[in-house]
Amino acid sequence: VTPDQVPTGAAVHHDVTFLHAYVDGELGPAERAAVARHLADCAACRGRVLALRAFFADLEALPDLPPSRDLAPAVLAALGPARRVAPPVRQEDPTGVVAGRAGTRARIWRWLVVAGLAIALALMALVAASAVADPTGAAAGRSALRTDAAWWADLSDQLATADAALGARAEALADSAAAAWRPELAWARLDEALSGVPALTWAILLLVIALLVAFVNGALVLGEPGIRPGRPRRS
Amino acid sequence: VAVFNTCYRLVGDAREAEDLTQEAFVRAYGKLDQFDAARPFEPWLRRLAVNVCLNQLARARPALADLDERSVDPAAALRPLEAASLRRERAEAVRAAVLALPPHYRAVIELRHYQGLSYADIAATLGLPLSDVKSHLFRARQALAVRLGAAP
Repeated sequence: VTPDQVPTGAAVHHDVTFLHAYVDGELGPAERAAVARHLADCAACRGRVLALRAFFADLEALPDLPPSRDLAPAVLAALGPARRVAPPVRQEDPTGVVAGRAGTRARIWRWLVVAGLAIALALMALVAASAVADPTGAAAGRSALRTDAAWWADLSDQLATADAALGARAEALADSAAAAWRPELAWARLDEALSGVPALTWAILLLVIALLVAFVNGALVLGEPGIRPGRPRRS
Repeated sequence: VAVFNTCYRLVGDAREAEDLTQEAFVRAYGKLDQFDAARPFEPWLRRLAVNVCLNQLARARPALADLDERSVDPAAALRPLEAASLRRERAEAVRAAVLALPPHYRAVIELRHYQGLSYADIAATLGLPLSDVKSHLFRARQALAVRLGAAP
């Protein structure tokens, strides 16, 4: 099938690949129009197109099956050694230069993720610490802590039940991540927590965030198994 | 689940598909720097899984040359699931027909019909010229049609 060449009706009629490409939506506008014109005149080819569509639908109706075991632990286990052997790879490349835009982008993403994690951790620590430190808010704080504990228990329950398949598990993780971000609740708790925090605590908190970002990011970058300078693959 | 089913359709053995799914994830981790964050992740992962499976099939083929027919017999893998329903029988027939194809035909069927890729994307994924994609796809469909008693 040569592009940009309008096939004759006879060509369409005698070359079934036209009909395949037509059903696949892979023809240029001119070819498409030519096939449509031929179909208007030819009952046999109309029948072929219908048969092809039915056949494809039949193929695609194949149901998905669940895997027999949860694959996540094995994947994580397999990734474990990769993380551990990574540092020497990094040392071979002391400049730390990663060629290609893809590498840079990956690093930026990692930074964002890690920074987000660190801030979230620090905020949680702040809420907990203020609940413990502030005697007037202690009861409220403790109840907040208990809700947190309940929430974590909930989450792990959710994870356990979603364990059946890796895909299901990934979805559950995404879901619970979305659920975890309940802005109104978080802000209310934060507000309450912040009201009783002295300046010194603030300074310590900022330091902790900075340290966490630096440390975790460093660890993750070290954990990257051999970033190859490569042509960004078309994917 | 999507990755597992991709592998299952390609290798036809549940255990092996699970191992290959695992390998696909591990490989994806190593290739994260090649992933374009602006594009959706799962299709990328599934295309990668197709190549992982093809490599595996290429490796296994010489050793299993004559066992191959039996090792990809989906009826064996599916026996516990066998049910009287016509629908299920049909699904098994389709699965078996896909698995009876040579691996490179299987791959184009997988990418076109189960992952919905364009000819150009299939060519890029498999590193084939566009004309090969078209002819593979056409022949694979004809072989499937013959096996399934369909008409095209």
